[in-house]
Amino acid sequence: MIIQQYKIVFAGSMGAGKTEAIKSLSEIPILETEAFNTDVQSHQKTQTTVGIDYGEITLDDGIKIGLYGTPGQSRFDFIWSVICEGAIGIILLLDHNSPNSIDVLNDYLKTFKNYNDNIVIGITHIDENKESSLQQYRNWIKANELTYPLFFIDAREQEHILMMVESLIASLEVKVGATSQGNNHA
Amino acid sequence: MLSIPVQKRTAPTQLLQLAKGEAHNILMNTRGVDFVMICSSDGFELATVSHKNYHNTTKLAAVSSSILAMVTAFLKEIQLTGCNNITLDADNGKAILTAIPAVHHPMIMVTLSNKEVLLGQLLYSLKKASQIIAEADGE
Repeated sequence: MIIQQYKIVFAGSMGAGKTEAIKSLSEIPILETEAFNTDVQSHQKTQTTVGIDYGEITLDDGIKIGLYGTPGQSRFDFIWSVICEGAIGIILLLDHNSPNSIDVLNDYLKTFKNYNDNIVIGITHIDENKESSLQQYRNWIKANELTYPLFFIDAREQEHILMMVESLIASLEVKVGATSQGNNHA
Repeated sequence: MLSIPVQKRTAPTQLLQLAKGEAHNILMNTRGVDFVMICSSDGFELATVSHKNYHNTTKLAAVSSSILAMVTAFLKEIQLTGCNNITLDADNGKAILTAIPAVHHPMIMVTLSNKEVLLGQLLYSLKKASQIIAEADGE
């Protein structure tokens, strides 16, 4: 029996809600690799992911998706490429509270597009920082002529995460469609 | 652990001195051991004693915490509880990751040795050191 399963990676800044997003979506108890967080300057949360988080979801059409979470901190960058291997896309989450959030977004995008260019961006914790504009992300994407879908989400909301997963799959289908059309014309 | 205030998340100097002393004892008293590092369970180097220099110890600390967390998760999946140590046996040496289950400041001891090391002796020493550090954290 060959099990057909796809893989989506959750990447992005520390405390953006990657583990929470996988938890909210997964239909199985998620495999967590959390450790006690001593880096309070970066984030004050108690636990932080240091390995790979894993969950699963089955979509309406029966397709099973493996949900893989990465550690956010760059000291764990050795594991990022390993996790992204064979993924159909990356959901890049960014904490709106991060100082210089546009720079942080730029850094993660630069790194992760090397592993897979099918990326959807989710800005989280938007209710905790009302002073900083959300429009800045749209403006930045436009100014840099990027086409990544952008969402403002709550990582605890299953619907929000599901919407991003569906967007990622739709982007992939468009890309695959465009490639096969190109091949037919050649 | 959840009740630890933010300013007390990092291990106190006294505990680190004790941990470093235990690491030093293992390095000096176990033939074949080249390197012992204490790191936090979230992958920060805290103290290192060594006969040989290893480059990029910060990365070594991060990788060690990842491996220990992933193996612990694997053991949990197969209904085994905790992960006391992991022994990696290579052609030219051994690496041992030992969990230090300190209540307030969980840590990892990373030990690198040549292939001739007496593994039983080393594992016994590591277990004792881990217990001493964990007990000191609980006091």
